[in-house]
Amino acid sequence: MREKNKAMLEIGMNLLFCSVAFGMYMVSHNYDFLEGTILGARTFPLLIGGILVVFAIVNITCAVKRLKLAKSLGKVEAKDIHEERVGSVFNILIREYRVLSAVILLVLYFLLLSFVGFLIATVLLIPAMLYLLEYRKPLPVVVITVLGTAFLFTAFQVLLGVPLPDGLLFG
Amino acid sequence: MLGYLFDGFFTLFTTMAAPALLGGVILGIIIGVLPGLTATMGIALLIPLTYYVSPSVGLSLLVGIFAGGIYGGSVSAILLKTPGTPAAGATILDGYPMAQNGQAGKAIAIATIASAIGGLIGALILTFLAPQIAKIAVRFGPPEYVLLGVYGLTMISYVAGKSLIKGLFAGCIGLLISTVGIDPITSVPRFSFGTLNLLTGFELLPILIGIFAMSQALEGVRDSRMKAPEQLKLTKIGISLKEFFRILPHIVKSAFIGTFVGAVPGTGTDIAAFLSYGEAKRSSKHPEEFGKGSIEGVAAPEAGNNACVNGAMIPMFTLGIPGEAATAVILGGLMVLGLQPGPLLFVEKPEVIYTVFASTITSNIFMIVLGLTGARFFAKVLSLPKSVIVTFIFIFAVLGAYSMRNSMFDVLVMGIAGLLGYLFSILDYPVPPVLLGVILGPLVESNLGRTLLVSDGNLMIFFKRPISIFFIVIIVATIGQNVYKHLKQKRK
Repeated sequence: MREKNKAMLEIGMNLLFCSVAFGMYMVSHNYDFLEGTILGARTFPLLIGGILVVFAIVNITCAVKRLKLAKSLGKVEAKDIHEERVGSVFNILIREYRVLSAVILLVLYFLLLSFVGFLIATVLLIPAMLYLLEYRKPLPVVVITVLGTAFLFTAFQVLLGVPLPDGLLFG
Repeated sequence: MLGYLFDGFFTLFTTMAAPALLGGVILGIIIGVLPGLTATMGIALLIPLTYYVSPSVGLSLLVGIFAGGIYGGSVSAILLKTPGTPAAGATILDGYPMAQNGQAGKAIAIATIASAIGGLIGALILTFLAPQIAKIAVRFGPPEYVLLGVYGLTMISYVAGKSLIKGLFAGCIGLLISTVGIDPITSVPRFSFGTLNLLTGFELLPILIGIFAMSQALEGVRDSRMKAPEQLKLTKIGISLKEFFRILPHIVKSAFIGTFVGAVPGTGTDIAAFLSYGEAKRSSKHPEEFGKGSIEGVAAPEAGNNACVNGAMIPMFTLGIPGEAATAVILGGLMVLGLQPGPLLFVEKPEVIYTVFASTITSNIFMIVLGLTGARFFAKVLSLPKSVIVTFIFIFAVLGAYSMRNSMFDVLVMGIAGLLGYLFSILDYPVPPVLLGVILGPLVESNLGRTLLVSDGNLMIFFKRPISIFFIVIIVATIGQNVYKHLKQKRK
């Protein structure tokens, strides 16, 4: 990932956790201290949240410095870096696109598990994921899908007795 | 103690624990052989399976995966010049040149024998030393537990990697996660927002699977286009008696180094392997052969890293403090199985703990048999398509998170933890501190509350007890050493 994007992502992540800590701080006002002490349900979260914000500020400061450096480098050596980036940006895009697609597939799998149950959801996920990962020989994909689903069903539902999701449609 | 150990062996071989251990070693070797998959991930992924069996059987499975996983990394290190696990990094230095010289079979035989003997020595030290430490630790009261937890949290500085601040930030996230649920002192539901799922807090297992397995699967998706390195041919497996006696002193020495390194929290199998390699080179009669295919250069790191596996379990079992990622995950596994890690485990569940010790000893015997007879099969695993493996890790992670409470909420938590783990990996934030925070947070918070209630809020209670003072000294020393180390690194 490019340094600039990385720094921005890091700033975003630290800000997100700062807001989580702030949210916890606000919510924790509902919890009282034990009488005459500083002990209570809010003590530990407030302490940890406060420390987290301090570390987050340090991280954000470092990331901002890197962001500035990346920008200044971009101006000075624009030509060289542009040539270098043609290849790497292309690769980065492909890589990030694949991860994003995998995440979308997982969200769909989660929804399908809830609605149509384990068997149908898994039979759909395996070939989709293999396609995404560029394993596209039809026969092996069918064999892997059928055997893999059967193995997982046997291992979890039959041997371990884990009731796999039936889905709202069939449940 | 010997009586308990015999009982442990009896339980191991008269229940499903021995087959589970064997299965664990096989699975561990397969996971270790495959570059990109670590023993830590394997343990995280298979913890859900242990939930449905007795603790002895479940822990035997995990111990098998850990030992097999560390050994398995040597196969790909020798044949592909790619360590299956970081622990096998030092094995490449002489293992791959041996394979290039047409001695791949000999290198694998040496790695197998050294791993098994090193692991066996480490397991024996664990078996006889751990109960002695537990005897002292069993006297701990709430103040000692607070300081023990704080000492555990200082381990963040060791597992933080390049940036101490990033590690501490990650640790705070883990601690904040641990605050969700019922407050241990006032019993007030905290941050549950009226939902039943959050009332008892986040389950450990989905978080563990998410940050260690799902994030690694996402990394696998990212790197799936990378071309696999060419695999060298596996020749006849075996070594002569003369070669065995040449490597034996190095194996024994490395086993002690590895166990010691493992017992020091914050180190790891990779450090043990490189230290053992360095010592072997220093003391060898043929130092000029190192780096060109020295048999001692293969034996020493392999003995060191497998002994380290057992050394790392000493603080985990006796104090409930994980020294590195894999033991942190096993610690999580103990908690999932309903066991409270720490000295009381030796008093309350000696039958479980001594079965685990019997498993650590036996795993090395399984390893040597499997390694020498099944090396060709394990080498074939290297040709499995990565895309298929990654796909099944995804599904296993989802089912693993779901299986504990049959809850889709846990799957959601696992997914979010997986994304967080992936984000951490691309931003160079360490993941193990999150787990340390989640595990140690409740220990510190509940005991701190009890301590302050008993002492009427007087913090001097920590300075009135000898074990507390001992912990304060080592906490201050650990923090001081790490701050100094990081400042020194920054100056460079």
